[in-house]
Amino acid sequence: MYAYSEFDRHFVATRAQQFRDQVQRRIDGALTEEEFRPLRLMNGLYLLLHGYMMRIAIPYGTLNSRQMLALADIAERWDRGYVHFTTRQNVQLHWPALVDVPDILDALAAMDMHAVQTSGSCIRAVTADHLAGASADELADPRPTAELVRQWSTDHPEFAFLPRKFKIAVTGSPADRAVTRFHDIGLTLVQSDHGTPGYEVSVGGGLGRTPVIGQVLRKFLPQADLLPYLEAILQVYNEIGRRDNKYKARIKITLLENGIAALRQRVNSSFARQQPRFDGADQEVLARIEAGFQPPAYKRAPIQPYIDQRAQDPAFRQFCETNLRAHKQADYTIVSVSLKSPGKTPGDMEVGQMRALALIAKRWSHDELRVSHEQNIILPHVHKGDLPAVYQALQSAGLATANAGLITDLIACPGMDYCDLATARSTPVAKAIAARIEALSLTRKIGLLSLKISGCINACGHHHVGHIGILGLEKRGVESYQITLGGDPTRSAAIGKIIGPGFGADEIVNAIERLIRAYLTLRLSPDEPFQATLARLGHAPFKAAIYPPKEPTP
Amino acid sequence: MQSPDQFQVVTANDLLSGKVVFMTGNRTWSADIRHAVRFDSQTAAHAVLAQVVAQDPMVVGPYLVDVSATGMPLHFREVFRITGPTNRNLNRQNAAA
Repeated sequence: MYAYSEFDRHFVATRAQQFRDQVQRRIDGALTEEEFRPLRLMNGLYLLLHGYMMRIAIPYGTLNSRQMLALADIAERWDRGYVHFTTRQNVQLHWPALVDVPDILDALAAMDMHAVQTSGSCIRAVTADHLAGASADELADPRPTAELVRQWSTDHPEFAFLPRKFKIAVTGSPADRAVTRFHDIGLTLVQSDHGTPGYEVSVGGGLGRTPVIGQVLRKFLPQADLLPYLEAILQVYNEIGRRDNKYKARIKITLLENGIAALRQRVNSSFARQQPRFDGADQEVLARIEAGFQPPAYKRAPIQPYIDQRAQDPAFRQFCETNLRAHKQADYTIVSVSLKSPGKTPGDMEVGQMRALALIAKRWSHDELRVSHEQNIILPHVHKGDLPAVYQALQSAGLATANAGLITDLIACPGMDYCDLATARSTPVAKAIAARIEALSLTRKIGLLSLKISGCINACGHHHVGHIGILGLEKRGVESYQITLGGDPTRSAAIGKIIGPGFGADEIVNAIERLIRAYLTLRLSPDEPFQATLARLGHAPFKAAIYPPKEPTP
Repeated sequence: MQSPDQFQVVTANDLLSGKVVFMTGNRTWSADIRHAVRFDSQTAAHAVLAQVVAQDPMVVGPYLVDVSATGMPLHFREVFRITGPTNRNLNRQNAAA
């Protein structure tokens, strides 16, 4: 993991001190709310439906056990004993008091954490593949690049007042688990034909009210050119990005209005001016960062305990079938810890669970944890011989739900239960759908299928890219839920299509059940994924199932 | 002109705690909507709201909420705002204490 330098520590401690002073001036009346609002947002402090919400950055989703324990302590001392992990690999406190936030920032700073750039029209906390540095299919670890981007973008004076927020994601795997195609900039680590390391750069992706698939701006960018190239993109966006209408201010609109060719021409022109300014110091920084991301000291031990347990314990076998991912070390595995237990709110975690998981990570995962954009926690480096013990410890903490990647592992934004932008609730719908599927014992029968729910058009629940997406809206004074089908967050990116009129809160679960039953009937075999069935047959048979003909009235 | 069984109350969030509050008849703030002063005229409600915006720095984001004759919000968003999240068992009154 990256270790904070003295500079980093001084920076986050100073920001916490500055905010303490700003809070005091607001309370004293020296600052109006209008003056204070941008200052609190710069430190991740929002005002939502019930009160303040504090969004804490977890850059590229990487945590150690000390940091997880610190988050638990904060949630217990200054919040209500739970936190919410988001689709941007961040964590949110939903009940902090303004007067406590300076202390919370101090506590975060003491653990090399902060809430910087988790809000506002700036470059937001950078995200990355949650299996980074561990996955068997990875070309290279994306986290050093993500950390370089974090350092470069933090408090970057030129990009502190962009037209709108700006999100960058990095992946080192062709599988793209970082949703790069739907970020303002997506970076994919690649090699040239000659084996030179570099990046494929996509631009202009995004979800929200205008979902757009990012386009490749540069097929191969040499590694050393990354920062001048990013500066070039940001400069062009800063210059021609629209500021007259917030709904048209994201770079995806700049892309749509100008076209990829014109955008590329402008970026190349800016890049030509930027490149000479970078003398290689950034690459020296990158080399130092990379030194901090060396693989852990893998142990050598027998994996027989895993083989034996798997043979004799069907529940353990089921957990292994769904929640493990291939590690680059044959004797190791990656464990997905589902935060989607039956009856629980997706992404929520209680402090007791946080503490238990921190200890599990410290003992059995080389002290590393990851937050996934799928709102789960990852143990990235678990020796297979330790899996029975890990499974038992997860069970004791209520964290051994065997559903990673299955339909009940669904994503949901906080929705109208917390968010003041929301137009409908999302988490109760998520829980009700999961409960219905479980009650029908269909979870495993359905197989891999993603269901994503957003409580408004801003799409924090990524509904556009769910195989099944649900968008909560208000229609004539009540909650209404619109279904989309066919979204895909990976390199084969697709935006789900609306299937038809929305359903009321009391009907959406039945509609999803009809949709699922149709899929089970229509698929050629249990091996045909939902996406394949949809591609083969189109929307019509699913639409017919979702909207059955009404019974004639007698 | 609003209907005779429709009223408005002034709501905001408390600056220090962030809690949802409602303006009472003596211009203080209460966490309990039942203590809120109800206005039957939009003109009067907007005038009070303007005063709050201009003169009360200890609340944030004040606005008007439509309520029924019984004092309950008409829109589901405002109902959730006073009852708390529906997705977990948080005793809002106890937790707020």
